[in-house]
Amino acid sequence: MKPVPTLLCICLLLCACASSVPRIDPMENSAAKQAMALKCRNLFPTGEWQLLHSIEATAPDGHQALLMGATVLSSEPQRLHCALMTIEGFVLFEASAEEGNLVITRAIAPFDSPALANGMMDDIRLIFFPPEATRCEFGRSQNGEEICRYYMADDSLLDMTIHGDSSWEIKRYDDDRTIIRTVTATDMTDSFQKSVLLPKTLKLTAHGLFGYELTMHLLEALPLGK
Amino acid sequence: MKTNTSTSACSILLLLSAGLCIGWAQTWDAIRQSAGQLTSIQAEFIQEKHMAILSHPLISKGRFYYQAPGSLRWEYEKPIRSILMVDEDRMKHFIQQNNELVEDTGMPLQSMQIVLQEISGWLNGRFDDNPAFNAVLEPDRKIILRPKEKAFAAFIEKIELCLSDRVGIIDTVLIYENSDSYTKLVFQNVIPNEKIPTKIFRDVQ
Repeated sequence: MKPVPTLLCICLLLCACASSVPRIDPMENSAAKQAMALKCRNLFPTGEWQLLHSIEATAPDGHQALLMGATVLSSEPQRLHCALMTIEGFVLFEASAEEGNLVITRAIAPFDSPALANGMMDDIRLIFFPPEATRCEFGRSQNGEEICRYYMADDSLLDMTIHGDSSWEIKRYDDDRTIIRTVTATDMTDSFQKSVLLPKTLKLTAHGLFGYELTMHLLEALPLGK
Repeated sequence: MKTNTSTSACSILLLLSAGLCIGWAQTWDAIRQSAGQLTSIQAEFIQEKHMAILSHPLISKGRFYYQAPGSLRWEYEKPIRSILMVDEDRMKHFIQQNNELVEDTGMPLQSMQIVLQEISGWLNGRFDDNPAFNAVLEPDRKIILRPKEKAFAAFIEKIELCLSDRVGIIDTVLIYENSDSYTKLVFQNVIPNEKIPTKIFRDVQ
């Protein structure tokens, strides 16, 4: 008799996980929707930047490592160069992404798997670039927080929630609406360039069996170009 | 007249000593002999990381201590505090995490840490008897080290050491990972042959 309730509980839990996309009260007013779209877009860095982060990485087996990440990005046209290095400055991984092309210039174990490289660049894009959605919805969550909801071409869905203190959170769901990534951005600062808010702390969680966690602290932000 | 004579004598002595200093890095034997006079050294360093993708180099700052025959403390103060200590062949690596220095035990020895260990050998003047590198002594007090193993060359293409005109001292170290990426270490405020307390190589502080 006992196995049946246990199995039922597991099934219910799995169902709860799969349908975890929250309901939003959509905005109807088009001016409010436009303002909301702009508000979400403005949370990503615009122009050209060179950023340096310390990265506390927790692997699926619980192993922890502290690394440094240098990111050079341009919002228009979208360009991304990144390097992952040891605290002493030894480069473990270096790659560039431009117009959808990924070029890996250096990859040392354990960063030498193409799947890992692609995943890593996807994570960096998720953190620094606004989503390129096929459809958007704007509204408020059940607790009144503003949400931009992006429907992506690969049928995944992305929710961006803005909190009262300008900190924000991204939740990415796959086509089954299972959560696959969470990014939280806190301690917003404009000390590197007035009028541009950058998060001092970013935390990315990859959910699932081989989940990992990256906690990034901003050490340096240099605006480039004009 | 007397003043002129003593001034001339001083000048000749200075020139002679300068000549001796310049000569210290002309042969491997001279380098080993000069390095033998070095019992300890401490200095500040500035590390510049240059990469093709970067518009501005990444700057790290720190301090290092060396006591012959093989004790080393290599400490980064900025942007992230980390300490590598080598004492009696025991190596420890600490990294600042959440305002606390935590021993890094999990990561395998990284190439940069291998380079830091090599520094002990260089300060002993042992450039050309290293099993990992082929060493070439070039004019202008420059030493080029190239990895002997192909697998190691994938991590480090070559290392350039620019020796100072001061006996036994290294001015700059250039570590080339490839043609687009290199690390430059510049040493400043170098203090040779001053007793360094043992705890510097054993305690994190």
